[in-house]
Amino acid sequence: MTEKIREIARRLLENGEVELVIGFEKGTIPLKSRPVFIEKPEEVEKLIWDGFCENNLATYLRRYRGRKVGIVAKGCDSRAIVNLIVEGQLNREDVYIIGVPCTGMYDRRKMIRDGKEEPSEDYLFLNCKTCPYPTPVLYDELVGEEVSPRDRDYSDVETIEKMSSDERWEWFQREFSRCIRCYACREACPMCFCEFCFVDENRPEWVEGGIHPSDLGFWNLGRAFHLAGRCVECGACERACPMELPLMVLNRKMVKDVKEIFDYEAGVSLDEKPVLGTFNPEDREDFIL
Amino acid sequence: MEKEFDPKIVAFLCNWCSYAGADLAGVSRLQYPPNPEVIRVPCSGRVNPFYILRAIYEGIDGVWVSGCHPGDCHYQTGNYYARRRFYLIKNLLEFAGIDRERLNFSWVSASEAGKFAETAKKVTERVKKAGPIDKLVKERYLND
Amino acid sequence: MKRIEKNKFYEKLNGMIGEYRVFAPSGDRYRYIEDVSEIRFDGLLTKMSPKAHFLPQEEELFRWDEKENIKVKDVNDRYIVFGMRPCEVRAVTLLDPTFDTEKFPDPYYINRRKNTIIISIACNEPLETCFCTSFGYGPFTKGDADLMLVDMGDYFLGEGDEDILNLFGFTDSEEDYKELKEKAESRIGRIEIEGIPEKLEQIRETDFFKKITQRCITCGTCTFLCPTCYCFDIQDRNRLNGGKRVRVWDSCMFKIYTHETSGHNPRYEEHRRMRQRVMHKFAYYPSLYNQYGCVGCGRCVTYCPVNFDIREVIREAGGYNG
Repeated sequence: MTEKIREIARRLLENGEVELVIGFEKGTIPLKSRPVFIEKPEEVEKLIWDGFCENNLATYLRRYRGRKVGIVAKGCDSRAIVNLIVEGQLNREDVYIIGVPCTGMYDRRKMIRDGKEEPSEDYLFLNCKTCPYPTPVLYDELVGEEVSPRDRDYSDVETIEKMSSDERWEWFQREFSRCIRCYACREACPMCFCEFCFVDENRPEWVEGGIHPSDLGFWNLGRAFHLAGRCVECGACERACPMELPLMVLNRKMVKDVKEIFDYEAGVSLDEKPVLGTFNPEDREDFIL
Repeated sequence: MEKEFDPKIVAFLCNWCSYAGADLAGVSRLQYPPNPEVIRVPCSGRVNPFYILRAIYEGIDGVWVSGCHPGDCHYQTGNYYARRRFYLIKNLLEFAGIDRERLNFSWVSASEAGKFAETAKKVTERVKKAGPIDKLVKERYLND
Repeated sequence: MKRIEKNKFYEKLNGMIGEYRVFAPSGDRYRYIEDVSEIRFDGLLTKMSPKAHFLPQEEELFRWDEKENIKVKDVNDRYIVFGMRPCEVRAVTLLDPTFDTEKFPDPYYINRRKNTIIISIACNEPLETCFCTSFGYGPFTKGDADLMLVDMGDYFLGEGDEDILNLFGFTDSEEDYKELKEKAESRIGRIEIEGIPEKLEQIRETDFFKKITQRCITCGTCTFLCPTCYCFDIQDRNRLNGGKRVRVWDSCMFKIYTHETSGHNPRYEEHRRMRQRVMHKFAYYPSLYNQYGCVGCGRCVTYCPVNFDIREVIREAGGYNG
């Protein structure tokens, strides 16, 4: 796979089809592959593909708007690209998508904690284990064979849904009061593309700065809500979070509800409007008094 | 005797329907609890879901958003969009442990004075049942 | 050398809680503990550095009531910070020239600093990401700590103020930690920082910073976890019966950090923010205080979501001719 990616990248750069290729290279710490930006054909040897390409590269695309960019995209990255196009953040013609059918990424932090060096099924990220679109949904070229979708499983969300409201609140407080507001989740997320984030608003402010549990709650709920109907479940936020908050549980709750209530999935079709940017007169309204 | 809990409720009412419904309820001398404090908005679609979040953050015990019946929006489609957003923000807040009784949504037209009074009663009862809010509330007074 | 049994030391420390507020490692961060049983070392370094004691993430400066009477928050408690690593101790030393200046002394920081006893623990087994020895000190440097402990298994060796050693009841010992020290130091990777400040000034306007910043997603993980980063924001909080002014952490990596009232932002582009961070530590700090602003703890390397590696950047800067 690595060879194939290098070959395509070299061709694209040599023919001048793209200005740069965004892919992964070997990181400087164990079990980490990191984003790399290849501008010259002779640099393509840096590119690799393995089970630790955990970042979502689509997050960089907005920086290169209007320039031709090649990007190595796994299933979720491609969904993020589709969503960016649907939401008018990107032109389809500007990106050359090197699609990589993905067999899942491994949780390096968990592996390091357990002293493991070889990846195994146990260490797959939850959203990879239950990935409905491992093969890119949009690509210009596909590297390798299609990977069959895995079964969706929202049992983590359901466990919490079953609790009483006080228990849920206790869970929410326990987990999210560890937040340090570094906004790594926001920056790692390809769908967090607001020019000015609500949490930065200060004239007047939505939420005060600092680490009062209510501020942390407001920020994390606000973030999750802004991703409702956008989140493509790539898990980049959770992987970026230095405090390892279960951010994906909130996101997955929204993904699950959007699917159940409005039968919509983000980033799978260029023709569908974003779920909150449209409506159906027959939408469910069983919550209305 | 212990004083009965008197909840603070913020009601975002659409100018073209529920607000007028409230007006009519008043003119018709219908009785309803005084707890909902009304904020007039041009459309339920104007109600940013973050208003709900912010109200709770400010220590409001319950939120009530009321707009036009589907199909009757003054701006044709505002309440359709709002409906989707409200469904999700309600579910998200509930998921984080905010009691469902605090989050109230209704459709009340300008002529439904009775329904307005009924809903105001219902909302107040629901919020009373949930009790004083203690989740997600930022201090309102200087303490310690 | 002086020594003390571990259980005796912890017992003594436990007895001091109350008289002192004890800030100690407890999982991913340091916390003010009620009992020594809360002390938990998850690996060598906590994720969050103990700078949160000297410069809390959210700190009230003063408050006012309805009649606009102003009350300044004073810091009178006495503190012990237990379990700091030599790099973290050095980081506090590096904060001093910023907050303890002649012209603008910061009373909050200075009081906390003055009222704090620092007890550090030397690092017997440094991490792969450590590079402290590059900055002229090492895993067994006492520095500004009042007491440095060396973990010998069942007991600690102690080095520090006579008063504090006596306070805990250290006894004399023939042993020393020379061997451990050499072993630890030999394990630590070094980066070449000779001439880096001048070099960075030279390449300030080149494409170097654009190139290295491509990967950066401009979150604040590095700066929030960094023991020497101290950027903050001042905010006013209105309450129904008055208000307060607080100081909260901020990060030079955030776009909003330099967003001016006019709307102009001199560091709108990512590489300008990165340049600030790198140069602040490796060029401005040396030129202002004759010390590097980095202590080599490696937190930013370990926790960066995209593996931006400052060691590599310094190496690349050294060899950059572009």
